[in-house]
This record gives sequence, C-alpha cells and structure tokens, in this order.
Amino acid sequence: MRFFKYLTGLLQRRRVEREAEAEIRFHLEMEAEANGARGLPPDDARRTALRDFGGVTQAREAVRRVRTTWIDGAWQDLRYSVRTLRRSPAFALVAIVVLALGVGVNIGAFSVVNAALFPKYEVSQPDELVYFFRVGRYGRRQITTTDDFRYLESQQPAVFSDFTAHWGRNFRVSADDETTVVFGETVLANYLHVLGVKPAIGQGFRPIDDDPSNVDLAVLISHELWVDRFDSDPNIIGKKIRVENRSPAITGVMPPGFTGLSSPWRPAKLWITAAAAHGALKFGMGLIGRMSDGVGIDQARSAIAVVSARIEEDRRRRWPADRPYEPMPYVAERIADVLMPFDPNATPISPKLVAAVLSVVAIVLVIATTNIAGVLAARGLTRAGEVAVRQALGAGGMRLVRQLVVESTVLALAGGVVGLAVARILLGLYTAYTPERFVVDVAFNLRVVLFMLAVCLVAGVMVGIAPALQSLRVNVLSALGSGAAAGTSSRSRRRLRHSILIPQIGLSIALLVMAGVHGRALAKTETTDLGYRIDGITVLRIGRWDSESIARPEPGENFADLQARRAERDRAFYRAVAGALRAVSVPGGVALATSLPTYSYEEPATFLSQDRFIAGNRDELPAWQNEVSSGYFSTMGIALRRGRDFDDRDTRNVPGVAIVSESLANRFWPAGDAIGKSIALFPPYPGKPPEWREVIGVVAETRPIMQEKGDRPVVYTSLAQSWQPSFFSAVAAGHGESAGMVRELKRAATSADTFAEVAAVRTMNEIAGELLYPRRAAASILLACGVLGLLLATIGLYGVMSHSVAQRLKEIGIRSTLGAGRRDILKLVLKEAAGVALLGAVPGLVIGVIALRVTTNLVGELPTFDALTFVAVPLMATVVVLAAAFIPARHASRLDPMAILRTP
Amino acid sequence: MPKTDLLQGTLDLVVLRILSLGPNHGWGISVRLRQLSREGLTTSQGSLYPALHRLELRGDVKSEMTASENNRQARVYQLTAAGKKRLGEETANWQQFAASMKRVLKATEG
Repeated sequence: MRFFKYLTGLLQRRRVEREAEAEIRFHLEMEAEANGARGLPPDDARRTALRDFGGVTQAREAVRRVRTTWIDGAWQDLRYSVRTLRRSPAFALVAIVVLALGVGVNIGAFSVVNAALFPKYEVSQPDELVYFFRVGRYGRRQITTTDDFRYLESQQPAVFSDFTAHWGRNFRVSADDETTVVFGETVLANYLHVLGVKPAIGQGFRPIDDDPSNVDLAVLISHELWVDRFDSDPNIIGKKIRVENRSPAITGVMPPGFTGLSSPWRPAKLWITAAAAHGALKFGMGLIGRMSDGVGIDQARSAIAVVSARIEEDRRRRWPADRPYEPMPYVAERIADVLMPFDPNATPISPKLVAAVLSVVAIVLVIATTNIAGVLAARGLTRAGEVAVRQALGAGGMRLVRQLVVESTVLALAGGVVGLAVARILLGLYTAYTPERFVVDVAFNLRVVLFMLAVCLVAGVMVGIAPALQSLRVNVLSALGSGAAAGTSSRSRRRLRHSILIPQIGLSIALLVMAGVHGRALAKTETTDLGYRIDGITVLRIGRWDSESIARPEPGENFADLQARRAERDRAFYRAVAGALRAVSVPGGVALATSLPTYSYEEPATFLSQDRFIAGNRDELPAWQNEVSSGYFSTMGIALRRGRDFDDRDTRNVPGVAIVSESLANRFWPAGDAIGKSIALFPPYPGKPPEWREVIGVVAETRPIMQEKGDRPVVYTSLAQSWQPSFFSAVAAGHGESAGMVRELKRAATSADTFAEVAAVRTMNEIAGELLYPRRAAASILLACGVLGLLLATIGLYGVMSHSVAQRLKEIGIRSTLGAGRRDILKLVLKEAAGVALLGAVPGLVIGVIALRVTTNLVGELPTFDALTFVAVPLMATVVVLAAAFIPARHASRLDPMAILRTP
Repeated sequence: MPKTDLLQGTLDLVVLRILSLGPNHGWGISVRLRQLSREGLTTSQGSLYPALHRLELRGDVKSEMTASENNRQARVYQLTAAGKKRLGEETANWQQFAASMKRVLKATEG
C-alpha cells in the first residue's frame, strides 16, 4: 500500500509539486487576507503572512523531501549529474577515459580468471565429482590400475556414491571415406550416468558395453562433431563409423556443450568404452568418483586415505626387496579445483596466483579512482560556492553527499561501458600473444557484466565519497561571503592533495618494482645458454596411433611373443621414418629423439657405472634418459666434447652404446676417461634387470628452460638400438619456418607407415614460449599496469599541482613582491612534488617487497630483490613526477607579481 | 501568554486532533491550533506542511484538492480510520507521559 503510494507519488511527482506549491500559496493568501481583516494595509498584510510562515522555500523543500522517495531522488540526482557533467565535457571525458582504463584491465583480468576458474562442466553437480591422483616421486598422475579400481569398487567407501573412469586420447576416425584424428575419451559404460548427462539424441552406453566379448559396439559423438562432420544428419543413429580398427555404430549424440572431463580446454568429441575400443577391459584410465550427498572434500580425502593405505600395504609386500620402496598413495581433488591452464601437470588452481593477478589490476583501479577523486576534490573546492548555495536553500547534508556520489557513479558507469571496449582490446592481445594451449574461451557472460557493474559502483563510491565529504566541511557563510575555495584552510587543502597523490605514486612504484624484478629475472632466463639451439628448430611429434598394438594375441601366441611382435613392428616403423626423413633436404639437418631437452618435469632413471659396481659402490645416480638418432647433437647444436656420435654401426646386433653428458661423465669418471667405460641403466620400474652400455661419447650439458643453475646429467642411447621406438619427435633445423619443409617432413613421416601420424608440429620457440608463458605474462601484466599507473599518477599530479598553483597565486605574488626570485618560486612548487614522490616511494617500495615475497613462488622460484630495480624505479618515478610538476612550476615563476596582486 | 514551540513529536498528535474535529486545510489547521491553544502554541508552517504530507504517506490522513471559498484551490485533509486509531493511542500515550512528568516535577519540588 505504502509502496503503491510511493509509486503513484513518483509518477505524479509534477502534479504533487504543483499542488504543494498551490497549497502554500493558498495558505499565504488566506493569512494575508486574515491580516487584512485585522486592519493591516495589503502590503504589510502580505509581508506579515510571509514572515509568520517562515521560509517558503525551506517548507517547499521539506515537503519535497517527505514526498520524494529514494527512487525519484536518485533519478533527480542522475539528471542533475548528467547536466553537471555535460557542463564540463573535458573533465568528464578525461575522467571516463581514466576510469575506463582502470575498469577495463579489471574486466579483462576477471574475464580470463572467470573462464579459467569456472570452466563450464556440462555435468550435473560438478562439485560432487572428484579426480583421484597417485602421488609419486615425480608429481602426480591421474591414472590407475584395474586391480586398484576393482578394489576401490569393492570397498565402496560410503562417502562415494559412484566411481567411473575415463582417459582422453586421439582416435583415428574414418567415416564417409574421410579419415581424421579426433580427440575423444575411452570410458566405462557408467561414465555418463555418473556424470549425470544423457545424449540429446539416441541412447547412452549399456552395461554390456563394458564386456569385451560384446560385438555390438557403440560410440557416442559430440554435438559439434555431429554438426561439423555429419551435417547434423537426423538419421545418424545406427550409422557405422570406423574408430581405429573397430567399427562401432553411433548410438547417441551428446548435448551441445558437453565435452567430457579430460580437459575443459580440449573438448572431447567422441566417447567409446574401453572394452569396445581395445577389445579388452584394459585399464590405464583416470579414476573419477562422485561424492554422496552432503559429503565434503575433506571427508572424501580421509576416506580415500584409508583405502589408499591398504593398497600401499599390498604394493609394499610385492615390491622387490633389492630396491627402495616408492609409495604412490591416492589423493582426491575436486574436478573444479584441478586443470588450471598455467600448469602442465594440472595441479589445483592456486588461489594465490588468481589473487595476485586480481590484486595487481585492482591496484590500477585504485590509482585511477584516486586520480579522479583528486580532480573532483579540486573541483569540489571551486564548487564550494554551488554547494553552499544548495545547502542554504535547504538541501540536507546527506542529500548533497548522495548527489556527488551519484555524479561520480555516473562517471564510473560511463567508464565501465568504455572499459568493456578496453577489455575487448586487452583480451584480443591476450589471445594473440598467448600460446594456444593457454587460451581459454573468454566470453562476456552475465558474471562478467555483473562484475563490471560491481566494480563501477565501488569505483563510483571510491571516487565520490572523499570529495563529497570534503565539500561538506565547507563553511557555508564564509564560502558564500568570499567566493570559491575560501571555505577551507590551506593546510587541509595540502593534506587532501597529499592524501590523493601519495597513494597513486606509491602504488605505481610498487607495481614497477615488481615488474622490474620479474622482468630482469625473466631476461636472465631468456638469455641463459641452455646448451642447445632453440631458434629455427621445428619439432614434429610422430607416432603410431593405431590400436593394433594392444590387440589380442593371435591363436597360439603367448604374451611375450605378442610383445616381441609389436616391438619388431615399431622398430620397422622407426627405420622407415628415419629413412624417409633423411631423404628430405633440411639445411641444418633432421634427427629424431624421444624427448626434448626443454622440459623439466620428466622422470629421471638411475644409472651406475661398471667401475663403481665392481668396486662395490651400488649408489645409483639419477639421470635423464633420451633416445636419439644419429645427427641429433649436430641438429640441436649440442657440442660433442669427446668420442663420436651414434651412426650406422650402432644396430641391435651389436652391444648397446651410450653417449653421456659432461656432468655425468665427471661424476662417474673424474679422471676424464669416460670413453669405452660401461654404464648400467636401471629402468624406473622395478623387476627389470639393468642394461649395460658402453660409453662412446661425451656431450655438453643441456638445461631445461627456466633451469639456470645446477647439473642435469643425461644418458643418450640410440633409437636404432631401442627395443620398441613407437613415439618420438623429429627435430629439424630449417632456417626460418618454411611451410614447404614442414609439409615435406610430414609427408615423409606419414608415408613411412599406414598408421603413422604427425600429431603436432611446433617450433622450439613455441614450446619455449609455452613454458615461459606464465612468467612472460606476469612480467608484462606488471609492467603494463605499472606504466599505466605511473602515467595516471603523473597526469593526476600535473592536474593537482596546476590547481594548487592557481590557488596559491596570491601567495606567490606576495612572495615575489617580497623579493623571492623565479628560482625560489620554482623551488616552492618542485619541493612539494619531490616531497610527494619521496613520501610515495617509501611505502611503494615496502609494498613492492611484500608483494614480491608473496608472489615469488607462484611462477617458479624467483628472486625477490634486485638492487638495480630498487634504485632505478624510485629515481625514475621522481624524475617523471618532477617533470610533471615543472610545467605548473615554471608557469608560476613567470607570472608578473603585480598583475596577480592587482586582480581581485 | 508566552508562545511555546511545539515539543518535538507532538505536532503529529496535534494535527490529528485538529483533524478529528473535521476536515480542514493547512491554513485552517494552523488557525485552529492557535485558537485551541489560545495562542499558546504555534508551529512554523515549514514543519506543518511536511508533517501533513508525512501523515498522508503514512495513511493517517487523506487529502484532496477542492475548490474552497472564493474559488481558490485548497488541499483539504481528512482523518482516516487508521488516523483515528492512532490518535487514540497517541493521546493515551501523551496523557500518560504528561501525568508522569507532572508527578516527577512535583516530587522534585517537594
């Protein structure tokens, strides 16, 4: 009822005001008439009536205050604000641009964080789903064994309602005479059921799909694949396609948006059960569990710890006695906490990293708002007259504060809208300069828009509140009496000026210090000699993607024979690829290797020298193993120190040979006589006997990217002597990145075998870029934000100092007349600017140091201190600040004192 | 007799009381106030009109624009049922308050 009245009041505001006016007029007329009846002359009668009434305007304003609700009050404020801003378009424009920059970087950062943190899992209640990892010596793997899965299922801890398993991989898919590689998932039949999704068309998997003897094979495809590959064929159900060497029928099309759980950034387009894909219930899949209703992740963790302890006990019993036991316990993580694009090992999202990025952009917003608050406060002083008049006319204090805050919020919202455009540009840069695998699908969704509005409101209040409160302190009488700006003391003006400038300069310095430390550490990393060439190297990942390699044995064939048969086929594959690639002319050579020296997260194997073994020293030395072809070292630019490279002599018919890196050679044979010595390789898995190899060469050290110090011992063995070389990379040192060369290499590799596949072609620079991306991104975000902050702070300082000079004209005039020279006036202004710079630099450096300590381990171990940066940044900031203050200072020093003093 | 400004909060009560005698316009109310209090109470019109509008928003009085004598537009206020109820309650409150005040003041004197 009351609300309805407010509403009608709002709609009929004009009428209400008119009537209120008429009502008061009526009162005055009646009163005057009554006074006339008492015998007063008409003029006196009217005057007495007015006097008795006491403040017609106040009464009208008071009635309006009763009548106006916050809604039309706000509407009024809004219109008033727009009018005021339109009257000073230059100020409005600058303010909108500054706020747009501040809000824009925040929207941009939030959009990325939003997309990365809240990937869309089109599954029901994703918060209940957990991944299980096994934590070993070298990090964690989301892979489990059939035995463990069965055991877990049989235990069925009450905190879980269901378990399922999946694994993402590439499939060779042939349909309608077209063969392509499609990323998909092998799953258990209950996968979709556990995830709580159903096909949009057709049926999901049946329990029989987990039975390897089932011949009625089923495959599900994604909506995207259905649209792109099958032209949204409405009769798709029942269509037989070829997936690897199996021929399942499409039984269902998943709803749009469902892309599996392997990676939110690598959409799966096809699902097939492990039994159907392999003809056997082979495991090696990632385990997923659904927590029961109301169960928290901590409960799930402790339940899995109990089961894991029992599994560990069993493993330990079966562990070979001659090797140290390596535990690999299971841990559970919510899927929403896993799969962060910044980490190749898919560790949980670091809330610290997100907090760090958002804090940095928030600092820019603080600088921007403080900046505009400064200008508004300065204007507020000149607007003291307006405020005083409105106050005298009966506008309440809160009403005035609200009016000014609404004004700044209007500015902030306008800035926010322009900020969306700024964010668009920033996101364009992000997409253009980010390696593909880190690009998340950033879209402006509702959450981003709400964030924008929230930021604008906060910014509006931040900008408006201080100047508004400041303007209230204006002494109405003295402001009305003596014009603008007189209502405040010079000391409080100075304090206001400083409270606005110091945070801006301090925060800019903090950002720049961080940028400097990160940037210089990065520069050192990027220029470190890694021991191999990065420029001009193209990498092709080559492998056999057929699933025959896991086919069942032929009749009468035992498992060992089957393995030998597969290994022999892979060796033939390697020989064919190596031969085909050698025929391609590549300027700097082409070679093959199973791993690249750039990565740091591969597991080392352990080695032992024969001399030590004979001497009874059984301490194995961890070293990384790489199987390479001949020509690898010259192609990669790794220096051969002693001995020879692998060549055609090294076949499987002769004893195995090895080339070791210098650090390993020095550890085993400090006398420098490594050539001809024997070395034993212990495979990382227990139970296999060591392989003995003769050292034929010593090569220079190589370092993974971002490892600037320390040894990295490597033992190279020959791919030609490898038992089963099925996956490897070709490295080609072509100058520049000629598409023709890549095409030829690809053709050569795929012609070697019908199942050969070139999975990825990238340059070493791209690979290095991916590894360095978090650091490059951090350094550039910090640098951009720091420069932007200092720029804003400088503009703000310039504006505020100009204003202060304008306010102090009289003082300057008097000083000049009393004999102060130009130099003294210059000093007067510059001293204040230098003081502000110094006062800002100290807290800025402190904040920088703290922030560096907090953020240093977010992107690898980084130094927290860099002397040059800590000296250079404050110096540079001071110079910039002084330069900005110099213009108004010079203006002040060139004024004619007499002209100033004569102006009233 | 010296004029006393209305105590804070009592204006609403006075206005309700005057309107309980019959519908009236703002000026009429102010005249009545002076008459009833025998010129002992006055209120600034600056607070009378806001009070009337506040009472109307609260639903204690309703108003309409009417043509009054010599064809002038006047807003005439009238008590509503809710207003009558409130008047009763507020009067009781006030009397209790006044009685209490009296007792306290007497006690201090004695």
